[in-house]
Amino acid sequence: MARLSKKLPALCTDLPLENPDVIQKFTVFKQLLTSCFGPNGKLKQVHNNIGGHSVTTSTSQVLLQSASPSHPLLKVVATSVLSHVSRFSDCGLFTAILCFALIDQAKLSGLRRNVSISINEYLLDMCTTYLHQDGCGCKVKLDFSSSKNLITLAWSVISSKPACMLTPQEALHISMLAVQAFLLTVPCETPGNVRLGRTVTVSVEGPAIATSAVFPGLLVEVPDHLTLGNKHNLQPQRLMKMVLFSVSLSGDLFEMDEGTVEVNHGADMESEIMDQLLVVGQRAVKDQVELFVCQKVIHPVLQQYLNQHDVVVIERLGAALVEPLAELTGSQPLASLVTAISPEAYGHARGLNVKIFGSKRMLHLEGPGEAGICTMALCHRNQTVLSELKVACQKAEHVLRLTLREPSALLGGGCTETHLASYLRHKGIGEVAEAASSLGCSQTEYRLGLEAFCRSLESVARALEHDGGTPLVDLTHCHHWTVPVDVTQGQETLSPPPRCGCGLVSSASVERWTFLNTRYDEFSPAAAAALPGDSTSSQPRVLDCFAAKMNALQVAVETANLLQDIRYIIQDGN
Amino acid sequence: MQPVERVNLKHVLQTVCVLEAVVLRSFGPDGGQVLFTRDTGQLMLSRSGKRILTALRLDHPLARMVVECAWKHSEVTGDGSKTFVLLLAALLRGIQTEACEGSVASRACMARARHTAEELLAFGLEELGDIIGAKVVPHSVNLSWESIGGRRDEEGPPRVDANADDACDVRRLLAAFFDTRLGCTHSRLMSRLTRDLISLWRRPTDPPSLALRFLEKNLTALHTPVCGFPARCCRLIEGQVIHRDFAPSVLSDGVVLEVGGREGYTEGGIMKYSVWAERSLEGVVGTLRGLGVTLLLSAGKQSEAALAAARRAGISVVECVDEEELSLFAELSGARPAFECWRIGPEHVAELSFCRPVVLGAHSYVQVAFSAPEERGAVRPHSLVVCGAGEGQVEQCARAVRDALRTLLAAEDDSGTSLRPHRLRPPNVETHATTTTTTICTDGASSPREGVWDSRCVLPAGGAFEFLLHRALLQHSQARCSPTPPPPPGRESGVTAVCQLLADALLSIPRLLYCHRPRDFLQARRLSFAMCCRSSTSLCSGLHQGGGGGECSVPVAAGQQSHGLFSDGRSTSDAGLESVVCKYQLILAVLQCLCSVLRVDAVLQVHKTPHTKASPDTDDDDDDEDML
Repeated sequence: MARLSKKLPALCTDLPLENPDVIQKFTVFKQLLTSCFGPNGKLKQVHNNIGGHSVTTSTSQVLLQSASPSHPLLKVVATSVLSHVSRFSDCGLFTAILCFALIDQAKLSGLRRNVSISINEYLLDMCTTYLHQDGCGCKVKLDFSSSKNLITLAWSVISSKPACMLTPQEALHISMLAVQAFLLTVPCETPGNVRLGRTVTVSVEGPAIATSAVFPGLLVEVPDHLTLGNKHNLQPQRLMKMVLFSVSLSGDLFEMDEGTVEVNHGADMESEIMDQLLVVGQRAVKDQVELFVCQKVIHPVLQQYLNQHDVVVIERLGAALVEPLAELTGSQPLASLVTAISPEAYGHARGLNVKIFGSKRMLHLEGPGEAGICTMALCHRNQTVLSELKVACQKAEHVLRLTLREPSALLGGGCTETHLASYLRHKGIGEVAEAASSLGCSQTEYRLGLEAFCRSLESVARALEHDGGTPLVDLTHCHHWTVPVDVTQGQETLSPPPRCGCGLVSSASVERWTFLNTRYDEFSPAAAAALPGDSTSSQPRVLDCFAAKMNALQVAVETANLLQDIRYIIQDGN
Repeated sequence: MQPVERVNLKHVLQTVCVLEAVVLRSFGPDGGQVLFTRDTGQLMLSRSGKRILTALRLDHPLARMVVECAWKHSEVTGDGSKTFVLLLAALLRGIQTEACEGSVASRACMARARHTAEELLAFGLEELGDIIGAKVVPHSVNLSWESIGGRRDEEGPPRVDANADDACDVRRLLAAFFDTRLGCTHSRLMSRLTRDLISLWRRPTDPPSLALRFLEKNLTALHTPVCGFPARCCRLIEGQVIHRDFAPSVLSDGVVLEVGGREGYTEGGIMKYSVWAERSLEGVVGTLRGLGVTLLLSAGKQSEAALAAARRAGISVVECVDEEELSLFAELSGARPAFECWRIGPEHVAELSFCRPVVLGAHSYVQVAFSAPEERGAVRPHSLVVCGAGEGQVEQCARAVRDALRTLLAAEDDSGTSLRPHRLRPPNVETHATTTTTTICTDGASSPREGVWDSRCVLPAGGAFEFLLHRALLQHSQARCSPTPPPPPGRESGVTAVCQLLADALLSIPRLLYCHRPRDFLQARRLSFAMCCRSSTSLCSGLHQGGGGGECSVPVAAGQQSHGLFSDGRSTSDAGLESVVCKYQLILAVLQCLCSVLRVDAVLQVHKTPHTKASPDTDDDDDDEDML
């Protein structure tokens, strides 16, 4: 009966988006996320009062996971962003900033919520159709015959994570490694259904970033005392037989189900199991196994026995590496001691050698054929930056993989947003009558909604600047330009920087600029790729993943619509 | 003993008005979402009145009583709890103005209100059904399942469009439902998907209610929630998705399949145990291999050794499969689950057309499709993939689909019990009405005056029912006012008043529906009156003609076609449909609730432990004991 406690009535908030308290929370959260955006974003240090290490980051994923907002509406945004990032790895902050901008602008426009929701949805459709078109002016087709665009793509991801603390050269080095690792995981020989391999990341604290490298095959950490016999050192490329156990060889009892074990008096189970282990060892030696790997612990006696017979022993491999190793070597993980090892269970490895990274000794293993498994060893100065770098590299790898499905990329540096905004203005104004009638709103409402949507897009481009620079937009291609702050102080007239945000357009080819915030007569923005001039200069320097940005755009609009649609919050405190 | 709180009409009205204010925020297609949070951090989104009302966790016993009534109603029909509260509030307001005319003492006022409520209920039970049958039903259409069974677009295009077959009745009924549940941005896609899902699962020869009931029961197993994608990525995929991945590193295409219980070992002795166990395992795997099994589904977790043995034999294993999915699988494939690994026979094995890994969102699942379709008629099992930006959205969407199925079921259900709650016949009379009959004829003998009307009548959504009934009630009351043989005096004036009261209350629903667009209110009203003026038969036939041609235009005459546009551009022919039966049930439920609320005259606060409650309290807190 004590469990029948009285339930508390729920806490209700009516029309939350008009509540000043909620608005204030929104603003704080928005500023927090906006200040992290882009390569010049400010870092956030999250640390827990109770203890634990502090995290320095500017990525949405790490930030939102470690510091989750408390207000329910903000939680909705955070979960949307996190689930987007978990699918696409990139454009998390873009989603959040666009979502907040849409809400703000909708409020400024004074439209009724249902109207603004349906206009947003309509414009989103317009955006997605435009971006999928071939003639889209802010899309770049990726050319897989050259790694240049791929490196640019990876570089854009890595350099947008300032918490990695990389110099430009280092960022380029890491981007090249990411592309190299990606290329190693794409199988070239198998026809038909392609199955991508995987990259295992090993992080090493201490050595300089330049020592980071990518190796085909796997790196397995080994204890200091492990030495390779002479025959390995002399013939590193020789194929050697290996066996992989996924069951513990430590001599304890086997994993059993719920059944009970009755031990008769005098029975010595340990020695019985020990004997069995040695039988396994003998069998391995007899079958000329030269590498003996176990996921779990191997009994020292067995280790000793195998070492005596010149077998390289690796124990405590860990569950994460069992599968890649099995794939790499073609062996089948063995889960039992008693059944005879079938010949196909043995795998083969070659290229055994020991690599030393800082304090870690790693055994490098390569497979007999192409398995698409590679290892990226990342080195950095300390744990905090290293974990951020690891996240950045994983994101870069994921982004590169996404290009296989959709071999194009969008211009980065805010240029896609400004270009898209200008396209929408032009197209939207052109068909205002049809749009308004199909949406069931007045033309004025439609124009207001359109302007709000375009401004939201532009405000994402503006969010890239944190140091008071002046955002400009050119009136030919509608790309995004930033005038650094010290230039404006020195001179009366604004001189635009030599290149736009994405690096595709040079200032020589543009005649007129305007401030990003100001109104300009709508026009159809020219595609910058069709620019006259030499091909070397018109290479974009910043690219964004197409699939990720498309999804981010849709998720942002959907989330903003949802938030606008929420009229009531019920918080259950039970 | 706590002080006795006298209940007067004002209190009741206040309580209901509070509920009304909450519910109003999400009422109708213009309404918004309600966000719930729990202390666990769970977020839920909903526009369903039922969920909103239960999430409030109200304290006031009267409010709880109202919530419970609304809850029970929507449990049956899957919808209508918001309208329930609104109608109740409107009726109470009407009763208050009528009962408290002049300065009457609150007790007398209450007594008068109670009397009115009882008259209303009596009227609702006795005459309302006939009025609806006579005046509203003739303007309605029978929910047709024609296009749903006839034309099935194979692997329908994932995006909107396909306007032509979108006009089918069921889709429109669903669209009206999703409009109020998910908002107009997603309703089109979701209604199309739900319609397709039903048509894929429905055998053309069977009544649709069978498929609906099946889907409603198995929806948990048949839908896959995927977070992180926009809702427009929702789609149908063939076969069943087993929400587990293959056990590690086994990838092979299965042809034959086995539903297995847990592979167990019996108790063992000492060391030789493991040798023996592995032997026996080999034996089991050998049997499976002999049967040609390449895929093993298991409800339990398999040991490493078992997995390795299966791997050696080339058998893919999916372990820890949910019981519900397994039983659905068994039903679809025809294989029987094996409970003992020693007795696996051919009856435990089924054939699949394919079995492949499918990655949905972050998870990798196993997708299986069933062969031998000729055996199951034309049913083509498909599963629904529900996408959304976050968990809350996905869950909301899935719930909406379930409730939509329930609503359709209520509209389709022709077991007369739910239709006429007041004339409960002994069950054997009711149940023999087979599901294929389209009319309810159980009452024909006992009360011939009763209009025989189809439970599948649908009317355009957006107030048509309310307008029609409003008019019908007014006409009815006028007719009763001036009949040639003078009726018994007191009774008749009561009926007129009651008619007037109900008619006014009904009108408040469309008024709230169009509160942002007053012009549309007039437009909708004008259309329904235009509908009334025409002779009923021609209307119906016109409807059917329209419906058959695919371009189903709801009761708009040629002359009015040009005016048939609402300000938001929707013409009436796009408008959704709603079931007349559900509406009728709703009114009856409201009247019953009204009566029971007004019968309460005092609330006692009791601080004893409620020993009368034997069962642990479930979702609906039953507080009737506290009331006198």
